[in-house]
Order: sequence, then structure tokens, then C-alpha cells
Amino acid sequence: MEPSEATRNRYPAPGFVDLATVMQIESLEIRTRAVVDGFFAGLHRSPARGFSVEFTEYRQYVTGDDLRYLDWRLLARSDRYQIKQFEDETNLRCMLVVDNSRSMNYGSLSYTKADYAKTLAGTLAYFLHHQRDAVGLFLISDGIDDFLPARYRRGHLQHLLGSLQQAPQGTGTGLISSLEQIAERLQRRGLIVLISDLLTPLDDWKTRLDYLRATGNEVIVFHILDPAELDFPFQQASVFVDAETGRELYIDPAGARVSYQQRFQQHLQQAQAGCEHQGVPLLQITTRTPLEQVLFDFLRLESDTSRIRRRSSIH
Amino acid sequence: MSFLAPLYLLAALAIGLPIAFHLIRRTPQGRQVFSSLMFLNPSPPRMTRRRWLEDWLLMLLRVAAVLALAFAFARPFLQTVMTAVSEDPNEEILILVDRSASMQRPGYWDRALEQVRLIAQKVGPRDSLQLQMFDTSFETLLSFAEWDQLAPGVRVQTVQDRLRESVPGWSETETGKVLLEATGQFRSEAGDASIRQRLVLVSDLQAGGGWEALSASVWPEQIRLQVLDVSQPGESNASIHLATDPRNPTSEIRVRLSNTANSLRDSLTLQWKDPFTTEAGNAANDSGERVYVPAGQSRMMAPPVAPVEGLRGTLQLSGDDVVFDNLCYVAGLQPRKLTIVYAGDEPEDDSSQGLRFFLSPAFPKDATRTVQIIPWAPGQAAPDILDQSPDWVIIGKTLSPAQRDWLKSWLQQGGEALFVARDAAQGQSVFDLLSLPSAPVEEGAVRGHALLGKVNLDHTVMRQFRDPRFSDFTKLRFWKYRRFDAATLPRGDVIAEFEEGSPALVEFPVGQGRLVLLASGWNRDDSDLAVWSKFVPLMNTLLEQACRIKGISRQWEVGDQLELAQLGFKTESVTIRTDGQTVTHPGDSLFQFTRPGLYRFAVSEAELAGPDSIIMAVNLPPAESRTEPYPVELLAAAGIPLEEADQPLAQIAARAQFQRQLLQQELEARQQWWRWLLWTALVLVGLESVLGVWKGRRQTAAAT
Repeated sequence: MEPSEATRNRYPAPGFVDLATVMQIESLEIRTRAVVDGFFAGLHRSPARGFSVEFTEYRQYVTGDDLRYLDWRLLARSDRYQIKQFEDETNLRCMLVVDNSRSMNYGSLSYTKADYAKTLAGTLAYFLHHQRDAVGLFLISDGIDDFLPARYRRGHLQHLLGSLQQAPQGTGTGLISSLEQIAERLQRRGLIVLISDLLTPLDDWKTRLDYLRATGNEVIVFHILDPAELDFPFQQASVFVDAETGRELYIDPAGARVSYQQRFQQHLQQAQAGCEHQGVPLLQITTRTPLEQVLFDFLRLESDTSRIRRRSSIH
Repeated sequence: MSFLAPLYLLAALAIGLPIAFHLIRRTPQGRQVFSSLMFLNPSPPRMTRRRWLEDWLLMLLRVAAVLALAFAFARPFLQTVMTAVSEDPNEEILILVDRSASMQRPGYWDRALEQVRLIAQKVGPRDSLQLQMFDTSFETLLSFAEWDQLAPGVRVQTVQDRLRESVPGWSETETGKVLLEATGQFRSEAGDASIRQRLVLVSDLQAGGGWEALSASVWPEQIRLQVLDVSQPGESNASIHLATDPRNPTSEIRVRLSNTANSLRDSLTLQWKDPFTTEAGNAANDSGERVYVPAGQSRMMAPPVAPVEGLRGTLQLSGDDVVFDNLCYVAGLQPRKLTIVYAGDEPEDDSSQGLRFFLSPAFPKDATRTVQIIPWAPGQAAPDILDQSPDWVIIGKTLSPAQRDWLKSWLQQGGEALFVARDAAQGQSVFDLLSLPSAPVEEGAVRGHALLGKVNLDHTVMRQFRDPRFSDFTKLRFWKYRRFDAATLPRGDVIAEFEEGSPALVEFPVGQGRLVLLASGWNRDDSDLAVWSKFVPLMNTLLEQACRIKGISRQWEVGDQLELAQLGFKTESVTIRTDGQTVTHPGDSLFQFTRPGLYRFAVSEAELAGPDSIIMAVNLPPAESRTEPYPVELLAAAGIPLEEADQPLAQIAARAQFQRQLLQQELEARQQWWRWLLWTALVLVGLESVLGVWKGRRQTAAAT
């Protein structure tokens, strides 16, 4: 779905590399770096620069800091090299929860939802690491396949990106049970970014979100969808095979499309409603959505959540 | 094309299944992996026109496989022209009519003729019939070929005419043997199911009919036997048969009287009839002897005193229902008086162990003969035997010229003589008797003793010694013998030779008679011949040969054959008289006894009443008197398929249908189309499988 004019104006200008081309990059690290670099390049070109993160304090400039954050006025006034620090640059512990089930291995484009989700997760990790934030990882399918605590140290990002490259596993999405386990495992509060296709019964969805929120975590949900899952563009009757369970059904798309879309929309609405009830922002994106745009949305959402958190702590 | 099991063709309706599957079932174009099926429900199959057109080849293969299977199970076959035409098989009917002696009973022959007429009337236009009569063998009255050539309108009449010309005989019955031989008379082959074969037996089924032979043989399966019993229910029979062994005649004759188990009469009468009459009456005769024979039993007894000397004539039994076997013919005992004329120098009461001394003991008296030895005095030109011709002449000395002339004449007229060479001079006189040039005769040179070197055991005189137990001649020693040169005796048949090769016993034909030359005497001075164990049988054989006394029986049964040459008449023809009829047969032919009675044999009709005629008695075979009928079930138990006398048309039609089915089964078994169809079905299924898999893979590749 092509972004509207309003959308395009709201987001920074797109980077130099388009999504399809980026997704062809085999190395996840290079891929994520390309996205982030493109994001920053867009920031500089976009009139609506910056993020909606508030300036909090200065810190001493060290070699290597991004000169974009150098307070030039202060330098002019006081001949002091100070970097502006924003709220999100400090005290952020972000846990990326990435759905690694087999359903994520489906893709109607040249890449799968898993590729997109991992690229997104890697992009977020790269960006946050760049912001000196601690990033951790939960890979989930039937349960927690892999766990990396949130750290900011040398080599941790590479380790995280390496974990992200695990092939999808499991014969089901144990999202609900995995969220419960995640909540039990997290000892410090932070930001939980859930990247999943949410193709699982959402009977206890609200409960699990509430559990995460009750432990003091902020949650952002990226609902990854494939365009084919939305449109169901198939024409020929075929035996459809469930990518996760292997179940087979004879489906005539001409007759099944309408009911599928209805039920799918119900599912989306159920996910949306659950998130809204818990005050969890849910971003429904397709694998066609530019990753810079998603990153921008992430920053915006994160900034909103942190402002709300500060206000609540002040009050 | 026809089918053995046409109902299986209904299975061909199963071709609707693959057609329906191809029209109804929607084969998916391929497989599509999707992230989750939790929002999808399975779609029902529906027909598409495009799909049916795409898989028409697959559908055709499946339809063809189903059709091939259905046809295979239906067992198809191609009917040949022959089987298509012959709906009802033809029938060959062979009728065997019993003409044995037991069919002489009143009414039996008429009933048999009637049965044959009924059978002949029911014969179909395409059927064939053969008529034969039998007793111990069969005689064809009308063959299959003749029947086929006759116009249909005259066939039955021809059968009746042929039968009317025939009458039952007097032979015994060999039903089993004749039936088995008759099974080979049918024209069609055993495996030809298009022709039915039926053998019809018209008989009185008497127990003594020799049916037991059927139990020991295998009856052809395709021939059915139809038995038409012409016996009279409840009829009983008493019979009389000679119980004396005809080979060992004794002075006593005994008869066996038998009475059947169903007989109601046990008191019978036995008497002698006129010797030359074979008629048997049924009226009791007060002059006869009453005998008591219970039903189901038999008695042996001596007959009443015969009115004719020698107990010869006809015994008649009366008092039962059936009279054909109530006469017993007895040839009786007729001892002959034989005369041997001996020409020798020894007195009659000679005790010097010369020729005469051993002659009388060599011919003892017995029941068949008495032998009288009459000396031939030197002064008698002819033997003094009351103008009777001697039976045999033994010459043991030199004959006077008159005696020699008489002997030569007598030999020419058929007389037989034995010439014993007593010495060389006397032996030389044999050449004159033989009308041969005189030749020297020498005394044989004997060192110690001489033996016979060669004996012709094939000669009639020596044949009795052919057994290895009796063929040892080494114990016969000769101290003296006369040596004849065999070249000087050209017509002689040498019976024995001495070691050095000269003849010892030679037989010469002289005119109609015969002269036997013995080159040594049996007196003790010459040899051990008289005390040799074979001397008496040798001399009696020579006597029998000379006197025509043979070991032939005087008692015969109907069907037996007599070599007329055994009678010893030595004539070109023999005259035979029986039952008031006189016939003449060649003297060297076989004569078959065809009816019971007393037969007289003589060289001419004038001699029939003379003392030289030979009387023989011929009786019915005892088995022919066992007239009680045996149950037909015994034939079925012997494995013979029986056919009912009157079969309903429905049964005939059912059998015809059964025959047709058998023929069809045989055709199908030979053609075996089902095998080819089964293989075709397998090949089609294989092709369908390969094509289906190929199409499936192609569609999967296109979908993915």
C-alpha cells in the first residue's frame, strides 16, 4: 500500500536504498546499518528533522560523537564542546521480542516476514546501540528460543544480530506463553518491543500485555503482515499448506477470500483492541512498509511513552 | 463373441465412477504454502468444464481398465461355426439284442423284438442306429452306415425285417465281454461332445450272463447304457447238467439237478428219452424217476438205468416252467475192441523176453478199449481175424511172399504197420514193403552199447516226451541194431537216429497207410526198450495213431469247436448227423457245435449207423441255466452310466443344454481371452498411474 501524501509529509524523506534492495543484502548487520544510515540521511534532508525526544542535558563531547548533536551555540558562546543528550539516550533498556515461528517464514514478496522482522529488529538494535542504549533480545516460537539480556557493551550488538539470524523454528506460535515467560524473566523495567505476525489465538492477549505492563515495562507492538495475508490474492484452487503446522486444506480462493478477509480483519481488530486496552501502541505494518518509516514511528512512539513515564513519575 | 458369465458385464457400469470423479472431483492445481490456515475453511469440490477436458486421457485409461476387467471376469470366447450350429447334439444308438439260449424261453424273443421296434421308432432324423445280436460274440444286422443310407420312412421296417429273420441260438451269454467290445463300435470320437452315444441292451439279464467282466474294466464315460429287461417276473427254472468230467471218462455218469431260488416246485421227474430226439416235453412221465430238489439248491445224482447199452442217450427233466435246459445229452462210454496182428516167431506164451513177451503188457485194457493180439501164422496169407481188418500189424520176422503181398495191399488201403528189423537180412525185406530198391543193411557196430543220438520231439509220436522231465533218452541202450543208410530210405520221416547217424525209428507213408520202421527190437537181446519207462507210452501212441483212437472228448458244449481231423477218418469229407439233419464238412475243417444234441460222425452217410461212427454229445453251458435276472443296479455299481428307459423331454433338453455348456466351457478354456484382458487391464492401470504421477508433479511445479 503506497503511503499517502500526508504520510509522506509526516515521515522523513526516504533513504538512498529502497526496501527491496536492502532486503537482498545477505548480511543482517550491513542491512541494518544501511537502514539506519538511510534513516539518518533522511533526517538531515527532511524539514521535519529530529525526533520527538526532548533535550534533557549536556554531556562532554568525546571523539566520535555525532557532530549533529553538538550544541554549536554553546560552543560559540562558551567554547565548550557539549553534546545534547536527549531523554531516550539515557536509562533505556530495550528488549526486542522477535517472533521466530514458522509462520514468519512466509512471504509473498522476495523476502519473508521473518527477514523483514529480523531486519527491523536489527535496525532497532543498531539504532539503540548507537544511542548507547542497552538492547536485549528474546527469540520466541513455541517458547523462548533464545535470550540475550539487555547490554551495552562491545560485541553485544554483533552477538544480537547473530542470534537474529537463526532460522524460524517451532510448529506453532506460543506467543502468549512466551510473553508470560518473558515477564517472569525480566528483572529490570524497560521497553519491550514485540515484533510478530500475531498469527495465534489471542484469547489471553490482553492478559499477557497487562502482565508485562504491570511489571513496569513499556510495550510497543509491531504487527508484521504480508500483503498476501491482507489481500489474499490467490486465484487458483490449491491445497493450502499451513507453514507452521503443515496442515493442508483444499481452498478455492474465489469462494474463501471474503470469509478469510472478514475473519482476518476480526483478528486484527482483536489485536488492536487488546493493545488499546492496555495502552500499548500497536503498529500494523506490512513487509512493504519502508523500514525507515518504521524506525521513525518507533522513535516517535518511544518518545511518547517516555514522556508519559516522566510525567507520571513527576506527578 | 459370447460370454460364460455374462452377469459380470454389469461391472462395466463401474466406468461411471472414474467419469464421475473426473467431473466432480476438483483436483487442485498445486500446493500453496500459507502463513496460517486459522482463518480459512476447506472449500467443497465443484465441477469445472476445463478440468474434464484436461484429463480426458487419464479418464479414458481408467475407463478402459475397468472395461477390460469386467470383460475378463465375464470370460468371453468366440464360438466356432460348429458349436454355433449344433444346438442339439446328434445321437448314435447301438442296440444289442441277446440271442443266447436263455432267450429260447416262450415270449422272450417277442418281447425283445418289440423293445427294439420301440427304440427304432423314437430315433430322430439326425440320429443314427446300429443293430447287433450277441451271445458270446456279436453279429451286426444293420450298421450305422446302412441306417444313414436308408430312407427315413423305411428304417424302422428294415430293423423289424432283419430281426424277424433271426432267432435266438443255443450259445451261452457273455454280456460283459460283448458290451465292452460294442463300445468300440461307435463312429464318433470320445471327446466329441456334439454327438451322444447310447448303447441299448435288450436282454433277459440272466445271472449267468457273464456281466461280471464289466466290473474289471473301465466303461467309456461318454457312452450311456440303456437296459431293457425282457425277463418274465416270477419265473422259476430247474435244470440238468452233466457232472462227469468228460476228459476222464469213467464207468459212472452223474448229473447235477438245480432249482432256482424263486421256484415253487421242488418235485421233478428224470427219465431217458429216445437217443436221437431232442424234443423235450413238459408233461410228467410215469416211467421217470421222481427227484426232489428244493428251491435254491442243487443235487448230484446218478441217472436212471439207461435203456441203451453204454449209458448213452438223452436225459429229460420235467416239472418246471422253463424247458429249454431240461435235456442232458450223454455220449456214453463205448469201449473199442482193437486187434493187433503180430507176425513173429515166438509162441503166444513166450517167456524168453522176446518181442511177444513184452507186447501184451504194453497194451492194457481200459474203459475205452480192449486190445487183442492175434498171431499171424506163417501159412496164412492174411491174418485170421474173421474177415475183419486189423487195427495194427507188427512185423517181427521175415514174411512169406503171400503175407508180404497182403501187407502191401493192406498198407495201400490205409492200414498201418510197425516193422521191427530183427536182423540185417530180415530188415532188408522192408525195402520190398516200401516198394523201394533193395539196399544193404548191416548190423550196427556197437562197442558196449549204443544210444540214440537225435530224437525229433516235434513228431506226433515223440511230442509227449517234449517236457524236459521226459526228454532224457540216455537211459535207452541198444546192444544190437540194424544199420540202414538214410539215403536208401528217401521217403522216410526220421523220428530218431542212433549216435552214428543211422535211422532208428522212421515213418513211411505207404499209399493211404503208414509203415513205421524200428531198426532194433525191444527184446532183451537187442535193447532196453521194453524195460524203458517210455516204451509203453511210445507203443500206445503208435497204436492210437494207427487205430485212430485220439484223446478227444465225447462230451461238448454249445459253442465248442472240433477239429474234424482229430476224428482220424482221413477222408476228404466227414458226414455229420444231428437232430435229423445230415451235413457234410471237409475232413480238415473246424466244426462248431451250434445246438445241443447227439452228433454222429462218419466217413459217409452210409457209415453213420455203423460201428465206426463216432457219437458225441453236446449240451448247453451250465451258466445259461442261471436264469434268475440280476439287478440293473449292479451295472451302475460297476461304474456304468445308465439311462432311463423313458426320459422326459425336459430331461433330454436339460442334458442337451448341459452338453452345450460343457462345449462352451471347453471353447473358453482353449481360447483364454480372459488372460489377455487381465494383462491389458494391468497395463492400463500402470499407464494411468504413470500419467497421473507425471501430471501431479507437473501441476505442483507450476503452482510452486
